[in-house]
Amino acid sequence: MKFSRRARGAFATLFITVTAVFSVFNFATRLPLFQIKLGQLPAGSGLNDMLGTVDYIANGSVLGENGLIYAHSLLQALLGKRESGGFEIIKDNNGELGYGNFYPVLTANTEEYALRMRRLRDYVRGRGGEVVFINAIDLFSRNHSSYAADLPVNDLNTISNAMLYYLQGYEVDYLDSRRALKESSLEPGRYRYKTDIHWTVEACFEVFASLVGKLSGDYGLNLDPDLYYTDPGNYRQSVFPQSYAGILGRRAGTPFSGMDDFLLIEPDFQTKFTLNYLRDNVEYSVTGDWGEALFNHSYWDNGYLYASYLGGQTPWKRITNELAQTGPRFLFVCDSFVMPVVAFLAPMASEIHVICPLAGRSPDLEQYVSEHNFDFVFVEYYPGNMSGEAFDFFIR
Amino acid sequence: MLYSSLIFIFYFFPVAAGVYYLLRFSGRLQNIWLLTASILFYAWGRPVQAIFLLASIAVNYGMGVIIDRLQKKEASAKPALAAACALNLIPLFIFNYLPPLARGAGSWFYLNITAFSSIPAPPGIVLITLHSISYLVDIYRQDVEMDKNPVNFALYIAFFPLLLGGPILQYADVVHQIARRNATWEDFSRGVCRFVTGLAKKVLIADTMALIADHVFNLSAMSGSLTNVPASLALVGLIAFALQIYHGLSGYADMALGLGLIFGFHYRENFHYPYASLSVTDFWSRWYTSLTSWFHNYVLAPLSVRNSSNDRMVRNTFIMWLLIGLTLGCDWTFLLWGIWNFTFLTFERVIEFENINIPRILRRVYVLAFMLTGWIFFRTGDLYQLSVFAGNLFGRNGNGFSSDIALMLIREYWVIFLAGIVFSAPAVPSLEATLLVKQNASAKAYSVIYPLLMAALLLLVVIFLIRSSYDPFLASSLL
Repeated sequence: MKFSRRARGAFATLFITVTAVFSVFNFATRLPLFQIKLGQLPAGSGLNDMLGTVDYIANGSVLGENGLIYAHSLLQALLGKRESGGFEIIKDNNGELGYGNFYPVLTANTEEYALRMRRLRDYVRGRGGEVVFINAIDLFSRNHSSYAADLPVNDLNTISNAMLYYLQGYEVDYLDSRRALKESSLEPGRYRYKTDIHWTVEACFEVFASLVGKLSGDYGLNLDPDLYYTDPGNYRQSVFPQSYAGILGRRAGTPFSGMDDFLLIEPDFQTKFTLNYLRDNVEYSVTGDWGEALFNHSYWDNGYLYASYLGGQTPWKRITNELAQTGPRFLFVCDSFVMPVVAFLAPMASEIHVICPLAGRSPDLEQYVSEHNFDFVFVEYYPGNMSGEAFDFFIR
Repeated sequence: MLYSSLIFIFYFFPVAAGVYYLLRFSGRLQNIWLLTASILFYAWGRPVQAIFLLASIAVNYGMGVIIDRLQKKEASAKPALAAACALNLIPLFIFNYLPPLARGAGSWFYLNITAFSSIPAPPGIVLITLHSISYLVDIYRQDVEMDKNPVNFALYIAFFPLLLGGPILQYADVVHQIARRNATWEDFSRGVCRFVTGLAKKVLIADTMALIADHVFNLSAMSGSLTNVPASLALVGLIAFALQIYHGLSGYADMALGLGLIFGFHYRENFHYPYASLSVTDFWSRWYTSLTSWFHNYVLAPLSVRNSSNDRMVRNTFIMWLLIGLTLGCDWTFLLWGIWNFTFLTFERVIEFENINIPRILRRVYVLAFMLTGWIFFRTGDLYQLSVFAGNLFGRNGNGFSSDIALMLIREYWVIFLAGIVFSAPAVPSLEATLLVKQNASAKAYSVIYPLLMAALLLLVVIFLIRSSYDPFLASSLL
């Protein structure tokens, strides 16, 4: 009896010491996060919202979280598992991560979204503009992905297919990025990061070049008559080997996910932009060349490499090209996927506006389009993001 | 708020326990503090829920005073007791039974009745109701003196370690502990170990098994519209559910008993390794004993009179099991589950099963078969799903036996399955008992290894908790 009493006493001492010290340091280090998030609550938020925010932060972030996630990931890797987080994330034979889904049913109301796109097109056309939809690629590729037959693969291509089918029916133009990438010289293994939901920056460049080609071929908008901007030779390309862990890699931990090589592509020609953007209801402005204005170094320094392009998605942003004030004006209604495409397109436009309905409260699209005469409105979504909230326009 | 959440472990619990021990000089202040913490704990998700808890405390305290006075005046307190019980059962009916009854009536009469389903039931409503009825009946029976201190009574109803998963208290058992108790270091250290053990059972085993069971039962509920559920997959799902419900409930009980000990309360054990039982009767003397004990004391005992005939006993036991089934859920499947248990218990009693010479292994197989089949009633939710799942399990739906998904689930989660099965048996107590007898070098080694194992277990729990709730971009808000 004595030994068990002593053993329990030893653990209890350890428990209260570690729990007390950890709790104090944990609270002290999370305090700024509590202040920021509680400060961001809209005026008039009730007690429920406050408690919900506190709960979310307290459970979603703890001191040393990266180390704990790393340890979890290490365990998963040591056990030879091919899933993480209860099939939230699964790994294919190429080491590429994807979302798991036991119930792959078509949930997106694509016909309704296509109808809204049609209404948007009619409205924009009435103001002399055009509308093009761009679908970002899914993580799962039937030609490339190699999952074990029994894993619950989340194949969202059916959503993309349905969306493009209805868009065709409603005569709304689109760019199928899957086809654009297939026709490019890029290897299928470099379409997407293994650890991220996003396509690679080099895939973005190919989609950008394809979009420029489409605008020229289908609409006569000759953005790049000398094929200068779409020539990769005019861009600095730096490879950062094994340096990037995307959203899936961060959630699952790098021992499980591995790391990606990251290819940074930036213009090697003269540029000058002003970027205005809205974050936490505050408007910020930054002017400089491409690297200063359109590339967010704080994200880069913290390892969010993909989000460095335009600083990821925010409710609203505007890029003004200080060197080409007579070029066309574009509007992107999109998620985070297309940010590098926008950044590559920026030197060819006089102004690009970006609205991300999924990033928070963004302007009313109908009103916004009527206030600014855009030459083109591009709507881009990853199939997993196609939702009523993403197509929150022309609902009538 | 859940015990198995980071906010409980690193925010709520350290503050609750720290302040409690700072107030060691005054038992009264300690109780006030525990009550305050309990109300905060209860109100955390939806502050409006606290209204239910406070109203329940106020009403039951008031009814307790009335019953106590009537008893002392030697007037009949029965109507007051009946009214008080009705006042407790009405909210339970509204929150737990009215929505499914309305849905059922709607489906019978082709009406879309959703009015009641939008009212979320306050957490722990069943426990609060059973605790309250126990209090009122014990006062009525004059088993104990009524505690005049409303704080003590409120603490009996609202004490946070018990609110989510029991054990179910009987007022007479705990009234003296609430008024006066002494938390020793021995209690505290046992409580901490028990809490961490329960946490590990809940987070590492029950939550993981729940994930598997949910997927299998959901796929079965879709009746093959996505994928068929062959017998092996149904069996894997059923075993996962059996492990989930045992480790979930006993984990909660361990946490409650552990937290109770930390605050100086000693509650009765609620689980005694029921999956190691040798008969159904044995199973029910080990499974959630506070539930059966409550029904024995407050349902079976009042129904039974001295020298009851066997027929009356059987009838009363039948009523008790129907009520137990209904208490746990409002559907025909729960009633069937109650009847299932009643049938086996009565059968064993009639044939005097305990006295029959049957090899232990066969007894275990029999109990496991009884228990697994019983869980089908419990988990499937309605009669149609019950028939579909049973059809899948017993190969009656033409879905075959083998399943790639079943093999994949075992391959991915074999460690948790193994741990779930091993810790369902009394492996650790047996090991400790052996070491206690020997008191040799391995016993000494165990006393060194034990704190390290427990620390590793706690770390593992925190790792799993952060993995499940981690938002990789939350910290980026600081950028």
